[in-house]
Amino acid sequence: MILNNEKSVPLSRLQPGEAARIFGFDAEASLEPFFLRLLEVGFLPGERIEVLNHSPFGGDAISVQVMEGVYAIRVSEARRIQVVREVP
Amino acid sequence: MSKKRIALVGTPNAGKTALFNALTRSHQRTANYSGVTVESAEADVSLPGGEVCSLVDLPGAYSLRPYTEDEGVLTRALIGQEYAGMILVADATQPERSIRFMLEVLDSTSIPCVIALNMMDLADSRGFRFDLPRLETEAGVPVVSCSALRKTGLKPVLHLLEKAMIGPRREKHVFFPPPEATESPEQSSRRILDFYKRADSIKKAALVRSGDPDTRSRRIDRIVLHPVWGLFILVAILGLTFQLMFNLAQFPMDLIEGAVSAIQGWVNSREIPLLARSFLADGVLAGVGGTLVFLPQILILFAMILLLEDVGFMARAVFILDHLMGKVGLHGRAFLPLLSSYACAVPGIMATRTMEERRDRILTTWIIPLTTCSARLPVYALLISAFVPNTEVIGGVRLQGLVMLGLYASGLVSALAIGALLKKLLFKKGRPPLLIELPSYKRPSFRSLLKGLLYRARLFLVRVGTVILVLSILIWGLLSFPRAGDGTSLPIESTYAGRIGKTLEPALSPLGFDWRIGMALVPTFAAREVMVSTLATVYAVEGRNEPGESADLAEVLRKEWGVATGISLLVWFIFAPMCLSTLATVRRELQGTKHAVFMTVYLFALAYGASWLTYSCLSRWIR
Repeated sequence: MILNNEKSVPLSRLQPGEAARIFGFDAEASLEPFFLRLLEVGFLPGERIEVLNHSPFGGDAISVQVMEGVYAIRVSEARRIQVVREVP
Repeated sequence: MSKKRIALVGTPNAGKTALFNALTRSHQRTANYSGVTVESAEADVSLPGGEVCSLVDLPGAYSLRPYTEDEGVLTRALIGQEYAGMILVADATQPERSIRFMLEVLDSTSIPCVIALNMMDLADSRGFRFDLPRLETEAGVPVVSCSALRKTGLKPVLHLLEKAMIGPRREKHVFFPPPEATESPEQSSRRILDFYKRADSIKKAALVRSGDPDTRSRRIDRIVLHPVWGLFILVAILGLTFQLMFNLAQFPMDLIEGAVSAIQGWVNSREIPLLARSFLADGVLAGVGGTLVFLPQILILFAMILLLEDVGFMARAVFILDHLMGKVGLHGRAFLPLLSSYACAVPGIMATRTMEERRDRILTTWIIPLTTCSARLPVYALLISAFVPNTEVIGGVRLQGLVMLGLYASGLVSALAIGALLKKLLFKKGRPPLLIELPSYKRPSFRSLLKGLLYRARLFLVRVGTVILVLSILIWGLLSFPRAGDGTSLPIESTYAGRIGKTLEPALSPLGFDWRIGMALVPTFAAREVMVSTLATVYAVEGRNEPGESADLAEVLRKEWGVATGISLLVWFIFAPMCLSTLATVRRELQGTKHAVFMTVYLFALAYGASWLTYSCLSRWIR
């Protein structure tokens, strides 16, 4: 799997149903405890990630599938995760 | 010699608690670790060889690098090495994460261990195939496939654990830095990636076939997390919970009340000295019985909470409500603590441990006392039946029910308003990030539910048998002494309680409270529900009413107090500081007396202000 930086977009851009490969976290983000925790649950570079749902009431959370788990995170954090869209 | 302790560890949602309930008998205790009492269970388990050990259900964690206070408990417990054995619960439907966590745990401790590859039934049906001998070789410890829900593979788990405990201690591969010695983010990140690399190679070797994704949960989520249906389902579930709490609980509550007053009647008919009779009937029975009545309601609420957790709905509720709760400064995770505190604030405050950020814990804890715990219910019920006419408002909806709903709503609204205010004043920084796993939907385990409820019931009964009993006796003593020279009782004003009430009267009269109410308010800081039995005792001791009859008590109160006083007292109870056990929990959980003091002061101020406002307005308008 070759990941190209130029093609990476923030995870927050993905619509429900869209899948991508994780490219990495933004530089400052990668050292924050929260993003270390994401790493621990499976948000690894190269891993497949799929956006499943948006939270209701104009909510700012999304649910994503990574490895075998489904997690809810907020759009503000999703913005700092770079992904490369899977070409169907 | 004390029993050997066995640790039960695993990632969240790996079915740890289900396994705990399947392996142990019913004698659960609250476990204690390194000075902190954690709301986590400990119970006896018999090994095949006959030895009885103590199985400790440690909090679940994604890693030993603690992120929440809950996870810190696990790390400290494992590094403390105080366990003779360990069952590592791994989720067979999540092999990558399970193997990574397994490696981390095995690397950092030398406790004899067996791996229970749980949820094998689910994994099987989704097509996962494992090469268990290979996994065993890679892990260096025995691996047993099992299903806690279907109770398969449980005997081999215990058997192999026993063998491991006799054998030599395993070697600790890597020195794991204790949680206090913080590792740098770069180190952590390297270590995590390293674990993944190793986990990946083990997975490649031991996982013969990876399973299909959980499409069923996805389909359910399409409805449960739907913008319209999701909200509808959430509201329906909350509505059902409260409906059950008030309607279904009525019958067992009546039974308990009936039984208590029957025993009181029996005591009063005995030929024993008056003082002894009064001690038993008005002191012990009225106090203990008055509290015991809540047991059904508490159990119903906890049954719903346990069920929703078990099925996997709670995490979804957090996801749905996160945005709304964020508007008042709360974290989505505050949902479960707040819901629990409708039964009792103590488990609610303990549930805040799952929040990552301390300020979220603090904020949630501060407003928890404003949610209407079940101890306020009898006070509300008594005062409403005394002071609110039960006229029909519209099509079968009666005023009394509406007022009750209004009291619950005002508690919630003020909790949210104060949350928003405190956040504005004290925590200006933005919201901390959210990360919550939405686990696969599962069939609930009724054995787990039953055990969870028995545990709750026992905690409650212990409280009734200790704190409440002592307080009831104390209050009875204050109400009955000193006695006149000839041994008969003095008028109530002259008793110790009466004197306390008289001392408080000047401070309370702006709220419309006389010395009798002041007297009844004192013990409410120990347990709010005692208000009803104290009032019953006060008016019974004064000879206006038979003890223990709250229906008549409502009538007595209506005659004795004005409407303004009654409503003002209702308002007082929305805000008044929580009971002592709540304060003690706050102090222990937030590790600071200052939080408990601050909460007491702000709630007192709020209660006093609101009651004063209510009384001054009402006493002017209603004549």
